[in-house]
Amino acid sequence: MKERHAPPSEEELISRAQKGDRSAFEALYRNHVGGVYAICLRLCRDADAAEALTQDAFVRAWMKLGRYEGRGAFGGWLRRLAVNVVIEERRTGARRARIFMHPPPGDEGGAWVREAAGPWGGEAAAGDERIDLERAIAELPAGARDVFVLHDVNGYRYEEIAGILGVAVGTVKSQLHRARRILRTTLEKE
Amino acid sequence: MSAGMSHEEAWSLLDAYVDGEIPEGEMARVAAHVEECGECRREVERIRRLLARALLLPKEILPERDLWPAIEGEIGQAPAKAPARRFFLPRRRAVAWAAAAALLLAAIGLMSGRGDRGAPDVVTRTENVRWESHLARSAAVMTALRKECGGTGGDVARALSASRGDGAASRTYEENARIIDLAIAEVERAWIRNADDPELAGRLAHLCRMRAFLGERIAQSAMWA
Repeated sequence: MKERHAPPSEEELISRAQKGDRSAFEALYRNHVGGVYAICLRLCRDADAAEALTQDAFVRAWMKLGRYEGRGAFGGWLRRLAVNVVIEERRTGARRARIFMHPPPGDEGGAWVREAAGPWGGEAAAGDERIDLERAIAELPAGARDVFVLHDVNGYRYEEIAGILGVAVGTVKSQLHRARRILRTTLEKE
Repeated sequence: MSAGMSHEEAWSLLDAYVDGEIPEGEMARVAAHVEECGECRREVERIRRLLARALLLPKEILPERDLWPAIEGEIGQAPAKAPARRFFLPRRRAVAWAAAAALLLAAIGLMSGRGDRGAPDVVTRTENVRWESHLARSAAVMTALRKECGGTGGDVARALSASRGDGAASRTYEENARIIDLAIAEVERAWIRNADDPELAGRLAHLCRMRAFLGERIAQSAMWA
């Protein structure tokens, strides 16, 4: 009977990937793609853009693997890197500007918002509490959404978020308050 | 009453209070107020209910398609350890730009009198270009592109006036037009994917203007020949 080997640990996979082993990096990708994609999707609200950003994030992770020193969870390092990719793309890349902006004048709550909620759209999902919340998050103004997704969904602290977004801690607090107020109003109506 | 904390002050701190993001001393003061104030207590409960719902959201969502083949294709040309921070451009845009920039710069080279190597060589060279080296040079290439684009009209006009009526020149212009068409096709492909990108749209318009200008000169050259 063949001896069964335990799957390699994450530390081992990271170490092998740092030495250039792509199969180890693929295993890391498989383990963490869901977390990276989820944060990209919630921040940008567009499935295609989120896929492209996830891809960019993993390519960048490969380029920066040598800098990962094992302090903190690898998944957290990856997600933080993905957040930076999203924010950087928003600052420097106009290609996806539309999905990061507020609704165009005259279309508040219209087609733009329905499109924004696309990944969570569909009649089958109506009434599902989780889907309702995902939709409501997608409809938040950009600044409030960023802070809510980073703080309340992903557990970043105020100061970390301020650093990531390049804003004052006071701005983080006020955007979070705004996001929660809008979400509660929206969800309590449903 | 709660150690001098007003309702308004406590109300403004409720989010941070629920998050545990205020100093300990202040936490105690807000907690004391919340205990006494029904309105603040209800607000705290509403915030906590929302947070409980947010906590239930899945931390992982899988993309509809497997992204690994594309990632593997990109990292196949990149070292695992980056010795220095490379210039970063979003993947699709960078590749499109690299191709467009290479083609366009090659076209500009031909048009400004450096074109005696002929377009086919340029195209072959472009096809052989490694995307990774383009990525690393993207910033420089794009800067050069902008600079060169500014002078393109004059270069073309000078080249044309110097070789008016020359059949060989006419063929060169046609080769140049073909190269610009390739550049347009590259930018168009990128633009179809990112139709809202004003920079891509601007580039496309600029290339089309160049193409129209060149087309006009080709027609004039044919008349003079």
